[in-house]
Amino acid sequence: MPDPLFAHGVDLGAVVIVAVKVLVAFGVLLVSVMLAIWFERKVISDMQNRIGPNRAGPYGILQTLADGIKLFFKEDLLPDQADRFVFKLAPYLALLPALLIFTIVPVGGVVTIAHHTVELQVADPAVGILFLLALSSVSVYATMLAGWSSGSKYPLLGSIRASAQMISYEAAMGLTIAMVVIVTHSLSTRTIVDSQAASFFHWNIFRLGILPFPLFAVAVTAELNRPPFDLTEGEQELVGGFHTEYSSLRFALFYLAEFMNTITMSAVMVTLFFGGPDGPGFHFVRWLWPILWFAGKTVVFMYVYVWIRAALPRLRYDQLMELGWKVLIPLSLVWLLVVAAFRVGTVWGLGVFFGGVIVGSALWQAVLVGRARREVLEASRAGRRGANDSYLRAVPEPDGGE
Amino acid sequence: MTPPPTTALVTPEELAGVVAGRVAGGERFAGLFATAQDDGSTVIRALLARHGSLDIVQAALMPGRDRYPAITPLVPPAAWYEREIHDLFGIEPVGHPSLDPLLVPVHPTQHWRPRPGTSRPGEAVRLDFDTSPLSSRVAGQGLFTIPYGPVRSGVFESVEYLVETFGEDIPYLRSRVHYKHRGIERRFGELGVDDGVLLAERVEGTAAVAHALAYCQALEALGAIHVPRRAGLVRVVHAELERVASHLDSVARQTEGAGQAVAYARITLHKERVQRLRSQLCGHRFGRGVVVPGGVAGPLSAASDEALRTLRALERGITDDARALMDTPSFLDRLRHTGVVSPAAAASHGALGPVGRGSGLGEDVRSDRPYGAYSLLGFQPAETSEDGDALARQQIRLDEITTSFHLIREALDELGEEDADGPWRLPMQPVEGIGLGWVEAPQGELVYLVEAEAGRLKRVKQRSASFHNLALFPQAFGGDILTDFVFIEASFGLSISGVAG
Repeated sequence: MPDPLFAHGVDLGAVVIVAVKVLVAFGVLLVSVMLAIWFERKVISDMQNRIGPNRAGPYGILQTLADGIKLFFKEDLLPDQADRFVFKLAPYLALLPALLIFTIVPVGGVVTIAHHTVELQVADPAVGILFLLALSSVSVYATMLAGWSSGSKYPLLGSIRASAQMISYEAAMGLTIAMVVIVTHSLSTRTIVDSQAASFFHWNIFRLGILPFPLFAVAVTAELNRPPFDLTEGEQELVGGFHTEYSSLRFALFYLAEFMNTITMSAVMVTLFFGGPDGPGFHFVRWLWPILWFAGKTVVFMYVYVWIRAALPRLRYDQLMELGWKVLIPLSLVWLLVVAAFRVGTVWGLGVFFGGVIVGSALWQAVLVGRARREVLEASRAGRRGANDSYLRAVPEPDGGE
Repeated sequence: MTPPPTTALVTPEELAGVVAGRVAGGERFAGLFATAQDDGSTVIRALLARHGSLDIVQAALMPGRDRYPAITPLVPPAAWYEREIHDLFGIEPVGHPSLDPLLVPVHPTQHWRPRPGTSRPGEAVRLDFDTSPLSSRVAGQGLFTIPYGPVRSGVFESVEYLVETFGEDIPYLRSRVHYKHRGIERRFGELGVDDGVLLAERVEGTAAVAHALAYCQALEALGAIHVPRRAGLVRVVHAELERVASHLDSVARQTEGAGQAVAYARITLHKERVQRLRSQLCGHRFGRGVVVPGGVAGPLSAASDEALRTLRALERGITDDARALMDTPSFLDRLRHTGVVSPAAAASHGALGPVGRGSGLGEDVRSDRPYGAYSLLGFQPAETSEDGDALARQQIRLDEITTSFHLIREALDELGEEDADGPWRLPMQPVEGIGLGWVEAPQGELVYLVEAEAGRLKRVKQRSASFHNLALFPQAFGGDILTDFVFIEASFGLSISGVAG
């Protein structure tokens, strides 16, 4: 279904409305980033028994603004070894997808303004979901190019890790989104939201059988490089990750992009799985309730992100890759088959489900046997090594220091 | 009081053979150091630990002689000690596989050496440092060196780790500690015995009490003094609180490495409370000024029932958080099989402290060569583990924290029953000769060799566990990748100031 705003052609009113929507979305997003950073710092300090920011403004709410102004006036450094053009380009590539993805998120219901039917979202392209997938891939470029163009080892390593991680998790993310598309029959985010509106149990999280949502949430968290998947910025071993060499405004842009991405992806989760702006409303100021529902659900996910950050330890790189390739992708692939089979018929669905369970457990048994074998092998190898080279390794290597 | 050390005199040519023979006979190589004499000769002493005693094997190099057959080819753990001797004395252990500068990176053309032990006064010397970057040891496509430090985020001391890597695997790692070298050993030679303890306390901030204790015990051994019982108990309280703080720091750094914000905050909070308790008990957060030659400076400055109450709350908090931490599978996954020091490697190197105990070496000086009030309190060493990974070391540390609390409680109980007016310290008479003092510092066995002449210090050599264990550090990187670095570093829990001296 095309955007109803353009149903009667593009007139001046439609152009003005679109312009206003763009400006409002941009403004709201920027302000909410400021609030999100404050919210995250405040909540995590509470979890750590600290007070957190409390100087600038009431409850420190203006702290982010103060930090932003400070960053703005800092020296803008350009490393000697940097590829100047790409180095300057990368921060914008990081910011842009976060902004653009938000444009397709339905933040409210449908209202009528000056005889125009207006959907409360910046744009409702028919290929909305493809747009989402395309842009989330663009943010990989930002990370990759930022690290590569810095001409330094730490950012390079950070960006290689980051891009490998993002590409790996994109597969699982895409598969779970495909399930949403299968049940809703549409790539348009508005249609996806509308199809969930009938009742609470029509939300995709229930219609898809709960599992796809956690898969999506994990994949998105990895995609965003948020803790516990923040290896790219694991300060300990890589100093600061891919943006080590960035300072001043360009660093601020990365920071902004990171939090904007968090907000956008929380909003996308609400859209895809939790009915978007759907929720009980009242008879006065009807247009307001969907917006409040949407905002409320998004804030809940923002909180969950902070909670996860406080609670979970960072994964090791190989554990992260294992989780992506050995758990998320197979699970989402099987579940996609199950969802598709249920579209054909219940019998088919149940058949594929139980078939999946049987084949899956057989495979799991095989993996367990393999692991036990490997452990035995490794133990014997380690024993041999320990006995053989205890002398060799204790002596400093032929010309070595230690 | 510890018995005087038995000293075997050998010639420089025999030294390597004798040390190797005794190590093969089951003794543990515990250190090697030199002392310059005023007549230009140099005495080299090797320390060998047996259950219950620490022996010296001694060889003298005549004036003008600056070479001797190296011990390292026969006893590999001596490698760093011989590099140190080469740096500080300009003496060349012939046959040593690599004499890279360790503590004083002077340019090869410069011949001045500190030579601690001589009584000539300190002099101002302009040193030409060799600051050229080290060449890489491993060659291959895509291989490069990442320098960590000497100033890097997350590192707490001035040390440089050069990690040679393809990106994730770490085939080779070197550490350069000379940034932290402060010339402590020369400084000792300019002090009187009473002032020496002040310097000893400042060698390693995280083991201030242990250093003071080892230094004082060496002097007390020389002067044949039995420290008053109550002073011994106060020493135990402070030494064990120091251990708790240091172990908590190691655990906190692991949680920080894993990005566990809440666990990190809670454990550092516990550590802070321990430091405040120490400050309440003696007026200093690191316990400086407590241990003095002959006893302690005075009684605990807080009532022991009040201290007991704080302790109980602390112990409960730490136990709860440790349990929650050890129940977090994804955190344990970071530690398991990370930084494995195989029991064979640990045994051949003689790994000390929690690193050794994590790899199956049960040695704990507090029970093997009991000192002070430990034998009185019935100390039992914690169980060892054979796993040798970061998780084993963390478990050992958590167990030791429990043991420490137990010891502190017992010591406080005993102190409560003590007579109100007795001496806290005994007067020290001027001492002569060579004394050894040893302590189980938080990082492991700490040894002090004190040589005194007419009330002045001639030579003081401190051998911290960090020095001995750091040489083992690169070997823990067998199958590990870059992201494990922080865990391996934190689980070793080393103090670079102790290494660099």
